[in-house]
Amino acid sequence: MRPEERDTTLDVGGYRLGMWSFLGQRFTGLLLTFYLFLHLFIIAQVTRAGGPVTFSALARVLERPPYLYLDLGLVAVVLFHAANGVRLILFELNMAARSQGRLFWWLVGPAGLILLLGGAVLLAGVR
Amino acid sequence: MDEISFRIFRFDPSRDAEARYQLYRIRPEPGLTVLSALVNLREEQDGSLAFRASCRSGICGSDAMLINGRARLACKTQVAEAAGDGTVTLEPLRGFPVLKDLVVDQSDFWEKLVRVKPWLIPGPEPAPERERLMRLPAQQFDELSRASDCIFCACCYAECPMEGRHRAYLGPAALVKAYRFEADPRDAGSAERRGALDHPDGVWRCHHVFRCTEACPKEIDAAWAIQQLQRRLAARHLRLKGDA
Repeated sequence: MRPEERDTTLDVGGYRLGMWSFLGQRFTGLLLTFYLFLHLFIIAQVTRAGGPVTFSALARVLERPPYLYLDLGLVAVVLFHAANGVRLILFELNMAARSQGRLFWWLVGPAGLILLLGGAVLLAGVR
Repeated sequence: MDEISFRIFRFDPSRDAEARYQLYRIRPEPGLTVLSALVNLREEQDGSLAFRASCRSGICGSDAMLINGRARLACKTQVAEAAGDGTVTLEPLRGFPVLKDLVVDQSDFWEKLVRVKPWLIPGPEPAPERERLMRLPAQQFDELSRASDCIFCACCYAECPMEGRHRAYLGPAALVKAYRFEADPRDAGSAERRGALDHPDGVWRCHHVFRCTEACPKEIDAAWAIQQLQRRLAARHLRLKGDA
């Protein structure tokens, strides 16, 4: 390897909070963009193919496992992106100038708690 | 303490086509710093080992390098702490051209620093005949003194992923210096600095990864200083403030 070929962007040098939240925000953003297209595509296909009957039939499949777990994963992605996004907005507005690190846990922590509780209730309802 | 290994990045552009890692073994004394270990290695095992150092006490900023992948000062890092699994890996700072082994070319770093005009630019009032007194109240000095602590070690440049991706980005240290003078009530150089700061490769390249703040050996909150500059420029664009 030539010295100039060393990776300068994602070199794994033991990431700390800032880098994980930065990468997490980009990764969840990409996932949500991909999901949005998938969502619109499926809705469009179902609507064109058969209307209300097909829609209800598909909905019954999608509200059972394993799709239910995927749904929970989607909620996790949305919650992370939203909570970390609020942290960055507060930092930009100078309302979390010195506390952005702690704010990550104060926002993403409760979001994770909501996910766990909501997920437990949801899964209990399925059984 | 038991014997430990130093795995050191070696590259001599006049002889090597590729970089390699060389292993050295030492038995560290308690309290040995990575820099002292390097000095010992050069004196006792391998005189061809190149690294940059000067003050040995975290003031000159010469001996920044990647220690186990993270940009740190060799003189402020204990071998005992770094050798968690018995090996300390030393590499030159990321993102800078390697001159030899652990020594990098920092020309680009200094050139960026000069671009933000890191000096006090006085206002238009005529200079007095004998001397100009420009006192700063103690409280305001405290605000600026953190940003003044920068020792130009370039750890923040090696850690910043934006700097790694966009080499034209001014980078944390230069922007911290810009903030130090922009926030100084005696300074009137905002208009002169605006071209460099209010630019895609100026303050707006920062995406708040906070690795500069996490890496700074002088504990300067560089990400915060950059965000303060962003706020000032945003307020100007939104016409929330006068021609500040």
